[in-house]
Amino acid sequence: MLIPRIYNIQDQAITIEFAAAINEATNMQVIALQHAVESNPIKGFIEAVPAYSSLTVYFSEQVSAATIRSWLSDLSAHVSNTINTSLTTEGKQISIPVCYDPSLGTDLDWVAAHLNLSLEEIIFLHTSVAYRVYMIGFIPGFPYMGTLPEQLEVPRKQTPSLKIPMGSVAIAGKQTGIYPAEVPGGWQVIGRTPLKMFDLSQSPCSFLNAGDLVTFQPITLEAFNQYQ
Amino acid sequence: MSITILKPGMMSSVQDLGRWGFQRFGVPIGGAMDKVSASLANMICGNDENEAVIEMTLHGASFMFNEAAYCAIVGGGCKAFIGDEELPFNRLLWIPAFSIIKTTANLQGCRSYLSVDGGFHVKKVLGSASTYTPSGIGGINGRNLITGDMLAFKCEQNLHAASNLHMLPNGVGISPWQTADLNAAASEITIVHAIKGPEFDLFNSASQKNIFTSEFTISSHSNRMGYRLEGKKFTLEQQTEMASTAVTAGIVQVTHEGDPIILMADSQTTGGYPRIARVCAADISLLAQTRPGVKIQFREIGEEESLMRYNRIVEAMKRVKVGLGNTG
Repeated sequence: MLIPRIYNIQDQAITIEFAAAINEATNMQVIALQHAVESNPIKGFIEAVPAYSSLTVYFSEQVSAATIRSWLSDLSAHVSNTINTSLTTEGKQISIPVCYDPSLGTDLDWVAAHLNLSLEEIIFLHTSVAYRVYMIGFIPGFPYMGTLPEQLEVPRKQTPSLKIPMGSVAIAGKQTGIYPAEVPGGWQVIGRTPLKMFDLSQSPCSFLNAGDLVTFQPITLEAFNQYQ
Repeated sequence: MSITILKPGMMSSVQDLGRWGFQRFGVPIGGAMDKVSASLANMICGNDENEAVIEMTLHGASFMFNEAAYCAIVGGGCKAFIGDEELPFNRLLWIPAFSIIKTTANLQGCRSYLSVDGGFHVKKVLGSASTYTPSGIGGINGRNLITGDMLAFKCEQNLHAASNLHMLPNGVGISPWQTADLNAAASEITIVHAIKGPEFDLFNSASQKNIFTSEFTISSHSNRMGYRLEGKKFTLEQQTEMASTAVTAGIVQVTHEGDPIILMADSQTTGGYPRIARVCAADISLLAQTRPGVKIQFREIGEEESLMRYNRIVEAMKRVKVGLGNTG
């Protein structure tokens, strides 16, 4: 395997980066390392933040950057040795109901025209595969998921929408995501889930976690409204 | 005990030293923009450094003390008055009941912190009282302070007896001592120490040179999430799409249009823009006190010097704490 790159992003934050590319194997390594880090915390460790192909560790002044660097590279070597022998999916498998009605999937018409697909074909394709949650970012609870079937790849909006409603299920490039709150955004909205992606009354506050496996379940507008 | 917000001024919010431990769910650290001043304000009142304080941006805020209480103000961006009497910063203050503190313009600094004896009673959300408005988390209902908000104090006060304060005719008490100002505010140009960022090598040679040699102006489109900089544009040697990765306060990222943004307290947890530089942790509070319209210049330093500068602030804070312990 490639030797990971380790660098500071702040005096008390160090990133270990495995590859520049986005792929499942690299992300599995990231999540495996995250679990290793969290279950063997070193003195001064605060938190670990997984991303597509990197893990960032925040720490206090109780521990030196040099100690964190060697701790990370040791754990990472250990993880990459074990991950090859026991390849397991570590996250939860979650089914998320989505209503693909054009009144909620406000960019469905554009996507259909752009890809020359029917509404049924879009729904079929979007629900045909299981998506890996690569990371949570952008805003609290927003899952970056992939990989979208190639036939569904669309560019982001030229001009981001000022308000994307909470629960909107959207696609961009090879990714799909869910907006946990009403925010401006540039992804193409194809549906909406009644589930809350970010809820302070729940623990954890984020419905999804990096490493989870998500499938989408189409529901009718009536079923969607009954959730409310 | 409580205070009432008569006017929030430009912008006021409840902050502490940040919300740690939830970045993997996309929840930013947030907290006071100038964590050094927020900590100092608490230390003066004998509080834990992480107690909730009011962060005032520039000036225009006014508060009424509903009971007599101890408080402290630290930072820049405003002057504070009770009537015609100007209140000194960095000192312990005794405020009589029904006094109104008003703030007016001060050309130095950008943010001021009001702490009260015992701290404000604010419900913690995910372990922190800090207000993060984009998600409506923390503070008072997840929003900035507005006229009429009342902030109660915690029941336990630290300071029971007035310890030889200098009493003014209007009943205001002022401690004879003052803490060091650890953020000497900027003059014409703020020098910010920075290290090459993780993607520095991906920028063209002109960009690599310009980041550490040219001047930038902090744009008026700056906020708690980030400072937009006006000046030279930056270009990658070769256009590449980056996989999103963790970012944090101090990171200088470059947008697709070539504009640099310094991420500040409410920085997103992850980002996908190339990072040309990062401001050393020690200079982030100084940057938080640098107002829009002011020029800054990055001065390149290495990892070791960055850490040395950080440790210097940590040591200075410890000295202040020891000093305050001796004031009785």
